[in-house]
Formats: sequence, structure tokens, C-alpha cells
Amino acid sequence: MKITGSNLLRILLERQGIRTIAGIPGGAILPFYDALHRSRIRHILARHEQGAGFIAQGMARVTGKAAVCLATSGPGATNLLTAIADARLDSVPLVAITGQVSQGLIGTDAFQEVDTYGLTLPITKHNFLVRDAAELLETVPLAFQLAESGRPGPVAIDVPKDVQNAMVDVDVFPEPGRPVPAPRCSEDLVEELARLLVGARRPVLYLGGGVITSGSSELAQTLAHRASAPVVCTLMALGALPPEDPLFMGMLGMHAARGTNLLLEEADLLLAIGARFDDRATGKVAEFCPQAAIVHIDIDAAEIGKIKTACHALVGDATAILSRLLERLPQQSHPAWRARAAGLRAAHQLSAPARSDDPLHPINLCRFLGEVLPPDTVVTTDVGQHQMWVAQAYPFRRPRTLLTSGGLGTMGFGLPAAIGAALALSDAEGLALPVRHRLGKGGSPAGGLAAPGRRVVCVSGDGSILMNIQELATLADLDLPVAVLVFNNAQLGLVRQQQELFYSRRYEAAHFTAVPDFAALARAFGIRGLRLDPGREPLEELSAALEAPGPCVIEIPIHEEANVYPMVPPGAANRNMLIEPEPVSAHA
Amino acid sequence: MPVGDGATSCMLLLSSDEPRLEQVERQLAKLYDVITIRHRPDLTREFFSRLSPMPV
Ligand SMILES: Cc1ncc(C[n+]2csc(CCOP(=O)(O)OP(=O)(O)O)c2C)c(N)n1
Repeated sequence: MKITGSNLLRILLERQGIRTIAGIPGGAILPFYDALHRSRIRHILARHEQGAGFIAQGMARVTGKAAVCLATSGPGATNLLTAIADARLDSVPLVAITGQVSQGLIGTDAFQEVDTYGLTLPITKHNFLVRDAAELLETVPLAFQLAESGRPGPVAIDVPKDVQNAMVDVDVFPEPGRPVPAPRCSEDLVEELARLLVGARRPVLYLGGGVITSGSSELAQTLAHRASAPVVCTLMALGALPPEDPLFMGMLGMHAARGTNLLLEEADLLLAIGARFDDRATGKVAEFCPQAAIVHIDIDAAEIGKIKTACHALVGDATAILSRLLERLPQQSHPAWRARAAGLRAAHQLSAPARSDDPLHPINLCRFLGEVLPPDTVVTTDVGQHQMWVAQAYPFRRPRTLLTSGGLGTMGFGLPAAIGAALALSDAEGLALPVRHRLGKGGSPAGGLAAPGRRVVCVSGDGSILMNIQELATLADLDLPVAVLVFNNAQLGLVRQQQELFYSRRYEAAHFTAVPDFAALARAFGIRGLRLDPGREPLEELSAALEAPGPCVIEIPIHEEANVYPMVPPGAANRNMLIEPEPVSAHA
Repeated sequence: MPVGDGATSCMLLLSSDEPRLEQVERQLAKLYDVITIRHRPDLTREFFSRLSPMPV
């Protein structure tokens, strides 16, 4: 059969099981868009390629399967870069497909020519420049295999326009790319790990995003109870254990509860699982867990010993290793150590004023959301103080319910990731995309059924939301049940906080002079918008707004000067935590 | 330098022997298109000077 390169690419993606692609067209990728015209693949037209990249990430983070984003050459490709780099740092499987100028023009500074291959080389797990349409037969399945195997990550495929247009003879299509199972580590290593846990007096489990990726949250929880080991989580691992678990000590590191970091000071064995000893988690590395022997399980051999020397290491899939470990680890009992952990947890609760005094204090807000949202709600965040308040105070109970930009810390992540998450959830529930609502005069939906599907909540800041605000138009197109909560402090809050604490209050470029009316902005996009009034039952209004169907933007005025506490100053040891200087005054 | 039919190639990197090198190697080793990494302490500075028109 003779087909064009772009039809071949389309068929390979269909065979791969891809149902949704987010992107923006342009000259160098138009042949492929033409092929999509005849496809059952649904194309989501984003309003910025970074938005498309994060929509794909939202799908991938919820499902664990590689998702696809699409852009044209030049500016389309450069606009994707941030989302690709973000996927790399958080180990998210992503396949980014870009159009490229025809091969004859490569190297001539042609219109919209940029070296996408060169630009994506350091931020992908692997990247391809396709030179011949027949190469797609190998490249496309391999791209998915690489994105999903081992430690997942982004793969870029750059396809010149002449390759898309070329005719290619195809007899048989290759099998879709599938993740390759990680090699099994030896019995001896698992045996030794069990022995170390039996010998430990004060063990702690330190879970990272790899636990979520490998689907081993339940095993990790069983292990914690078998080993009588309290559990600390990185930002990426939140949701692995429900906060109600008596062994759960919350997030460690820069914004941990004080008791969590203090417990780590006393541990004699730290078992890191799918965690990479990131500086936000460890603080000053030389002083991290000063009494503990480090044991490390990771699927990426290059993580072992990268930051901290491990006395024992196992390279492989956490699910496989933990189930083998549980087969041979007898029940351990460390009542004094468990009591110590429980005592530290109880003694160092997050501080917040009473809800009745200050319902819109960010900690109170996050706790309230935890009460009104079902436990399987997917919550995305942007980056800043609001992200840390969510991590500290929102009770994540299931894996893959927190989607946040951990490694790259990218403002602008939250809204498009929430759209991607809602798309994936509606796909999973087999829901057809809802017909979009028309807004009546009052800004409320008029006509049309409620948009179905699980509600997705994006918690953002007034700084971050503006970085991808254009995706409200995409959200309006799709009418997905995404609620955007803008914690509005009229500041780049985390910047202001650092300037207050570490730059003697020399505030520079942290305050916004003009702050848009976010509710009106939402309505301008055709989305329900409202602003909570601290004086008029704001929490009731909030839960009513979350219950109403369809997308919405809820602006929430918060204190301009609220800080995230505790905080370890950048570069300091985790035991040196700054705590809230005095009780917060009631909401102004 | 291409090896055999040119489907694979061999790259010589002259690097300083510092503690980080081990980590650099591990990160190189996990790249899909890196087949293997071999140390060549037998290749002297002179060997590289002969390869390069610029003094190293
Ligand atoms: C793309 C990008 N630019 C700059 C930063 C640096 N930065 C980190 S937090 C922050 C402030 C975020 O402000 P906002 O979204 O309003 O959240 P808040 O801290 O006020 O909750 C900035 C500028 C970043 N993380 N990402």
C-alpha cells in the first residue's frame, strides 16, 4: 500500500491507541493536520503550544500513558520546549511531534526554521529527526516505548514537511511501542534489604514520584506497616498514602511540617523509593539524615549515589522489588519509634487561625477543599505559595490525584494540565465531549446538559494563572468540569516571601499594580466566573460553585502577606526551619 | 568515527579525571543511543594532539 508519510504517522498513532492530541497547526505540520482530518483521533486546539504540551502532560500524569502534543516548526516548537523540559524533570511520558521545514531548506535560515533537534536534545529522554518517511515505521513505536519504559520521560519527533508529503510503500505495520519491563534485580539484593530493615531500630520510608509512576503506593503502605516505619513523601509522591494513616508524616523538606524533618534527624535507616534526593527535599545534603544508613530503590541506575551515597541499592521497578521484599520481611515492631513519630506529628501541626475567624486563610481553604471534594478529585496547581499550601494542607488520598510541576516548577502548568486531566477522565469514563454551554446574560449556563465527568480543580495564583490564561478559551470549547481557583494576593507571593525573609524586605518586582478582575475575565471567555466575598459566607459560596456543572473560575482574595511556614532557608539544613512568627491576624 | 558499515560510531572524549566523571558516565550510559562507555587511559595526551590540528 502506498501512503504519505503523514498518513503513516497518523495510522501509527492510531495503532498506538492515541485518541486525543493537543496542538496548534502551522505551515510545516499542515500535511499531518490534513491526515488528521480523516482520523478518529480527536484534536484539541490549544491557544498556545505550551498549553498543548501541558494538556498532554495532564493526560499522561493521570493515566500513566504517553500522551501526544503537536506543533509546527520554529515558534511552535520553541513554545513547546518548557512543557517538554517540565516532563523531563518530573518523568512524565510525553511524545512531542513537531513539523520541520523541508530537508532541502534545513540549514538555510528558512522561514520558521529552528534546530528543534538541537533544542530538544538536552530536555528529552530521546529525540528524532526523521529523514525518510519509511523511518516512521521504526521511530514512532520506539518513541512510545522509550517514553514509557523504565523511568518515563518525553521523546521528541521532528518531521520535515517533505517527509510528511513523501509517498511510502507499507506492507505491514509494526506492533505499537510498549514499555519494556525493567530487569529483575537479584535475590541477594532483596534479601539484604530485608536484613537491613530487620536490623533497623528507627527506619523511615522516603517515597518519591517513582512510587506513583510504578503503581506501588499500596505496597509501600503495606511495607511501612510491616517494617513499622513512618513515611515521608516528596511533593511528587503525595497521594501515595492517605493522610489518615498513622504512619504518614507528610511532605519532607523545605516546607515540611517541623516534626517530619525532625524525625528524619533521628532515623537510623532511610529507605528511599523512587526518590531522587532533590534539594527541596534534602536541604543541605551533607546534613540530611545525619544518623541514617541510606538504602535506595530506583529504576534509574544513574540516580543511585548521585546525591547521597547509599549503603545498599536496588535498581528496578519498585512494584516488583517491594512485592518480593514483602514476601520475606517479617513483621517488625518499633512501638517507641512509632510513638515518637506520632508525637512529633501531633506536636507540630500546621498553624492556621480558626476557620470561623479567617475562612479564606489559604490553609483553611485547602482543608475546606479536602472536606468538600471527593477523594478521587484530581487537583492541579501552579507554582508558588498556593502550591505549597495545597501540598501541606490538602489531604491527597489517592495516587495521581495531585498534578503539579515539581522539578521545573513551571508557573502556567495548572490550567492546561487540569484540562488534560479532565479530558483523560472523560475518555476513561467513555463520555462523549459535552456540547458547550451558551452563557446567558448573567454569566450562568443557559441550555445544554451539565458537563459530565469528575470535577478537576486547578489551584492557581494571580501570577501563575496569567501565564497560560489563554487556555480558558480551550476550556470553554471543551466545556469540561474544571474549576480554577485563583488565590489572589496581588503578589508573586513566593517571591515576596523570599524578599521578606532573606532580602531584608527589599521588595522588587513582587507586587502587581494592576490585577485583573478574574471573574470578569472568565466571563469574557464564556466561562462562569465569580469572586468570593470574605464578608458573605465565602465557603458556602465556594462549595456551591464547585457543585454547579461545567467550567468556572473562582477568584479568592487572600492575605497579601501570608507566608508559607515552616520554611527551611534555601541552602540550610532541614533542621533549621523558620516558623510562623506570630499568630496570623484575622482576614482584613 | 564510523564503525563498520556506519550504523554505529565511536566517539573519543578527552575529559579531566574528577570525581563527577563517574556520574557523568552513568548519565551518558542511560541514553538510548549510547551502546557502551569504555575508559581509555592508554590514550595519551599526545594521541589527542596528533588527532587535532589545534594543540590540546
Ligand atoms: C515560568 C516561571 N517563571 C518564574 C518563576 C519564579 N516564581 C516562582 S513562584 C513565583 C510567584 C508565583 O506567583 P503566584 O502564581 O501569584 O503564586 P503565589 O506565590 O502568590 O501563591 C515566581 C515568579 C517560576 N516558577 N516559573
